[in-house]
Amino acid sequence: MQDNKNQNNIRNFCIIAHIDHGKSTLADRLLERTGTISSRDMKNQILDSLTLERERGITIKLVPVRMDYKSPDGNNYVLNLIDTPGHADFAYEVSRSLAACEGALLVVDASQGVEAQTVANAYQAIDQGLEILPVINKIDLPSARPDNAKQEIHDVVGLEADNAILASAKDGRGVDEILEAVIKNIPAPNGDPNAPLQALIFDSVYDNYRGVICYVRIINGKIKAGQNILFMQNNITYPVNEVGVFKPAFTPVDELSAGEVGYITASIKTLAEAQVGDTITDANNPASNALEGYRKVKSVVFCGFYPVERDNYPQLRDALEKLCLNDSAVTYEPETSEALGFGFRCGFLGLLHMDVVRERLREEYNTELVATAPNVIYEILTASNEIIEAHRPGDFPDAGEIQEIREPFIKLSVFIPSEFTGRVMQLVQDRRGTYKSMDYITPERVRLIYEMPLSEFITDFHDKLKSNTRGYASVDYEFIGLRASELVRVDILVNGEAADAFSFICHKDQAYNRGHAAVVKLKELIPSQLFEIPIQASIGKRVIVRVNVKALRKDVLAKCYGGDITRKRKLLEKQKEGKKRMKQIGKVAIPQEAFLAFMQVDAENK
Amino acid sequence: MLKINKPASLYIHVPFCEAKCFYCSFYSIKGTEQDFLTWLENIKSQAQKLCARKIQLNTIYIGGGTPSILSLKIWRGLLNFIHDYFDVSTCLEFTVEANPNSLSRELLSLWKNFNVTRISLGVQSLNNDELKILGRLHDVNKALKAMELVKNFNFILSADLIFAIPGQNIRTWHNSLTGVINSGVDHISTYQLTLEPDTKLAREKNLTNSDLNKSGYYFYRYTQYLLPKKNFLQYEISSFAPENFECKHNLAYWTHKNIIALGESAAGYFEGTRYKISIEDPNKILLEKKLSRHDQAIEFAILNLRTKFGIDRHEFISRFDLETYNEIKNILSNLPNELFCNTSDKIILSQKGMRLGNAIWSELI
Repeated sequence: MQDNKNQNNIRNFCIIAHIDHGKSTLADRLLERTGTISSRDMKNQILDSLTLERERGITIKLVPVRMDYKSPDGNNYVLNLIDTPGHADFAYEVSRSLAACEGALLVVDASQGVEAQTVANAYQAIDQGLEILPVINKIDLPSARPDNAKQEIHDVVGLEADNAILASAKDGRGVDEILEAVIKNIPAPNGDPNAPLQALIFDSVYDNYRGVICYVRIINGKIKAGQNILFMQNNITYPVNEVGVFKPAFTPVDELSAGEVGYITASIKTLAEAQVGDTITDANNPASNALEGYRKVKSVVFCGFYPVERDNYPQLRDALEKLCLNDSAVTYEPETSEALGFGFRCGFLGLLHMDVVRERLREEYNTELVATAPNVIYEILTASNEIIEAHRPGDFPDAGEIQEIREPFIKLSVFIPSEFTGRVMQLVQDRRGTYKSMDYITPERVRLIYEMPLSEFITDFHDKLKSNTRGYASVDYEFIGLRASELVRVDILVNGEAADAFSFICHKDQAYNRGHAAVVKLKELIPSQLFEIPIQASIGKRVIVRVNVKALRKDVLAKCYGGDITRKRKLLEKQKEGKKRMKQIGKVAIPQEAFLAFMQVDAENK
Repeated sequence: MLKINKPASLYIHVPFCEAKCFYCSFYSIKGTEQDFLTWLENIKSQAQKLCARKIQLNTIYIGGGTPSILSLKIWRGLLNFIHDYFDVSTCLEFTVEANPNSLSRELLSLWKNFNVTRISLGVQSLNNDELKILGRLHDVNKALKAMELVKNFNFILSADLIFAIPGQNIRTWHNSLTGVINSGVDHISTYQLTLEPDTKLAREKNLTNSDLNKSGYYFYRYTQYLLPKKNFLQYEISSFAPENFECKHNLAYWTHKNIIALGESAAGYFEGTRYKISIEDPNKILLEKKLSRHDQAIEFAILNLRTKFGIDRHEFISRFDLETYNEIKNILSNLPNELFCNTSDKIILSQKGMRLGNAIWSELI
């Protein structure tokens, strides 16, 4: 333990990999090989908290882990493996995780090659000055083409990959070489243990018993229990309760000092007080400046969450409150919808983040909810030269009062096998994408760069892309700011009454098609009732399309004698129960499924 | 414990069938003479348990199952018991259900002697393909003969017909309807085929109830069009008859009259309490939880709405209260006018309303 305090024996690194390229398995192997955890305990201890991620087949974040490694060179090393989220939604978190490391393993699947997300994260690592060790994984596969993968790393990322380690996380090949390469090639940290404390929060989680647990990398100085610390962004002070390391279980230590990775607890109540990227310093001897790179996380994708049963609004509120203790990137504020009642407008880092939050509310907090279609924030320049932010269709002023509408745009990069180029270009263009560039990574693989509105991206673009490329496409995106667009608000009227849950914003050229798709879909979803129901799509006062839900024609059970009476009453009660669960818009009962399915409508018919 | 001591209608359930029809989910067993005997003994003890002697009967209905498969000996025993245990002098209608396959002169003449007035015959269809699909044991010829026989004995004759049978079309339905009318029936009950889980038809045919419902509309509408022209007025969702030939026993169900029920799985009613004879233990009478006053009123209204007599304001208020009547009227006034007949002191469903009964009643629940 003591000699580990020497920074020369510490290596802090992360793994950059595309989903499915074997990051978790490789991490497992490293833990096993260093005896941090026995293979038998592996499943229980490491992966248990990650059911959600595992079910979705993606790893959002692994717990950091500290490995004690005795090298064949005779020295003992402390290796800290810090995970990076593998998704564009979490680009900021990635940057903070990278900032806690001196090096990264760039793991590339030997048969799949480099993917878009990998490039983005690798660039970021290079940008932050990390040493990068290319690893070609899954060489056990018959389809493995390690030379191609090396070539791609060279051609696409621009890194020399001739000496890339060939590995198989599955059978353990290359694991020793990786550990040795980490020691030899990744620089040891070189902070100053005697300088004022600067600790970077690269992640933080909420624990019911201990409050917020900050995952930190000590850049300079030292930290121990009892010390008064200052969170530099929020300017709040707390006494430290405990400091420790990840073994991978939380294991208290006396002190963390420059170069080390560990955790801090200080009875912090909310994650908002200990934000990722913030710098912790000694309250009595503060550093002169905070570490660079802090950014306030901003929601970019929004949607409404509503309880399925109106009475459950308080439960939803409590669940959201609790969830936010764990995820400070979620924002929420109350809103009301005619169709859905009381609920919340929630903001997320991206689509995946939104899905994860929804799943968590459902699974961890047992909250059934209706989520409205995701949308972005629009900026509107009014006729009187005012700028207003529109979160939802209802925020749009009348068409006459709008001078200009601006919407967020992204730069999109797509990696695909070249045979799909035509189809993907078509797809992106259909979604108002503007072509920027195209280059061949290899003769078989192409990188396309487009600019497109974020709103087009968040309505199932990813699914469409996958299905158009048989799953071979990989995507990355970054925000490039707000741009003016010719947008309109399309309202949906059910039996003459505006159904706000169904209105949407779209480009004026798409208004008819999408309005049509919406009313047709609603027609399928609204069951026939005792009268005919017109469903219309309109822009302002102008109806652009109309369909009718025909009135119910027959709904009666013939037999009703002695024993049938009770049975029949139960049947009617059930029917009534079903109707109660529907939302009433004017005289029309609309089933919950309509709201749910309508979320897909936009997407399906684009 | 329930003790019925007021005038009532009597329903006796005969849970025996020669074979199960492909669409039937009701409780029935094949049964031997010994089973019949046991059943009869159970009927007697159930009656003694459930009601006082010499209660005045308004109507009697012996249904099933297939009552006509009981032997003459059992029938004699049953009828003797009814005449002995109850007061039948006040009885206005005495119906027996029969199948064309098991009807005989001997039975008919026995029934006649014991004052049976009405035979309800399970004709179901006058098309052999349709009868086969339903798994009925008779064919068209047998059905026609049976109807003729019943008429020759001077009974009031009712025929059951089923619509929305796979393969059925509006012409074959027309033929079944006019066929039974030409055979001299006095009453027609029409039922839409429903696929009950655990029936042969539901298992074997690749059909759903919603498919049947779709075609059911056309058949039902046509029935509503055709039968009144032939003087068979729709007096209930599934019942058509000339004036004064309505089934009084069935009307008792729809107007909350007291019903004595005997025989396994039979369901009865006495002053707000519904009960059922247990199938597992024929000596057991299963009482249902009594509905609240308000729920009883709603149930009464819904049952009333099945018939062309509808909800009568005065009767409803005398049984329940004005407040509930107004509540019902209010709810229904929100629905399209065309679903109701234009009457001031009654609420009556129109033809269209009758087609949409479930949707209307569920508003009241």
